[in-house]
Amino acid sequence: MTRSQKILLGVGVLIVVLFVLSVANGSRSGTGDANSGRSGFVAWLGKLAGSPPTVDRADVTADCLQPGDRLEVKDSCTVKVAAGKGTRSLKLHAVDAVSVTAPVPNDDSTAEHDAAAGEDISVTVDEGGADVVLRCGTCVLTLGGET
Amino acid sequence: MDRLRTPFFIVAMVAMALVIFVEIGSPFLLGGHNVGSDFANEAGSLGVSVPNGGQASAPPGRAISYLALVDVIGLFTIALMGAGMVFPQRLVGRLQGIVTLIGSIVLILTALVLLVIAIAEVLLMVTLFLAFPFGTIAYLIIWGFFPRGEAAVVLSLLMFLKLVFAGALVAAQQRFIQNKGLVALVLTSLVCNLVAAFLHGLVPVILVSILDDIGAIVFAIVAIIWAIILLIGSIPAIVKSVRSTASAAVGA
Repeated sequence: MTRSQKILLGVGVLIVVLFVLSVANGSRSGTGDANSGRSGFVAWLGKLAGSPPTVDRADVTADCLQPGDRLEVKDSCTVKVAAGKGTRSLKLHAVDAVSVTAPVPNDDSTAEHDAAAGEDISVTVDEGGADVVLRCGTCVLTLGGET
Repeated sequence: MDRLRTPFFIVAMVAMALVIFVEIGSPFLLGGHNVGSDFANEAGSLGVSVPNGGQASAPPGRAISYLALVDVIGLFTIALMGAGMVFPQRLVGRLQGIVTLIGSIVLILTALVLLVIAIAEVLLMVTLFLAFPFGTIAYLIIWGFFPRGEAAVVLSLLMFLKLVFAGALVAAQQRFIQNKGLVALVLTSLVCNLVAAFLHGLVPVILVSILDDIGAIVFAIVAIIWAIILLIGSIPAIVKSVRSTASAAVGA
């Protein structure tokens, strides 16, 4: 066996050993949770990608929408976000506690979130638009965050 | 010692063809199963309920199928060598350059399109993952539960087939080791396999889809670099082929 053949064999063995170690390490990394990666590499990628743009105000309509971008909800109110370009974010500020139901972007499911009073809510909307349903006894929200 | 041992060479070709089939077929082999209970737990911890969240399923990932972009170069190289056993050497010699040129251009264009798709997907993944809570839920439903165990099985099978390929190639003709380009190509393929396994094991399952897509981006770039090398390498063969054809025409 020549020297170059020995080197190649060594490199091959090293790759196989590292492969086995990588596969074995996979079972130790765990499942994690939705808070995994909010710092570090994924957060860095997030800065690179940027946040989704806020939904254009002209694309938002609702029966409960009052002057000053206030949403005055009695029992329930549907905020309609028109179809637009790419993934966007509808920013709401819950003055009172409210239940928010919205379609999951890029999926057929709907998700429901109970927001506490004073919470800022970001509803992610895909290019197809969305009907965001707000439910409470009587509550007030503001569009585009706190006013 | 100088003779090509055909059975080993055929084993090498079959092994590399199987590698490509497994890689291209990996989206059908991986994922697809329901992960509704895992998803419901995660959604609950986010303070979100998803009434029909049972539809969440494990994603197939991109990196393993993108490995085919690199490995197809190995199959192409071996197929060109094998063509000399079936067709006249003179014909193969003349066509080799132009076939390599066309093949490398097709590979560059394909890899570029797939690269753009992977970059767009990774940006969407990260954007959704960090858009708490509705975007995060969308990420979890579509990409949150990567089938790491299944992917490790497929990657192990691929590693085995690639080692069979390399071993059979050396058994077929020891001079293949002196072919630096071929050795570099085989090593690239093995290292890409290693990188995929490494990325899948590096982070918790919820984030694996993001790193899997980053792996796909890396493999597409590696394939483009190799395709450019092939494209440049094909030019002298085309010039030589044109010259010999022209001189044959003048001689006639």
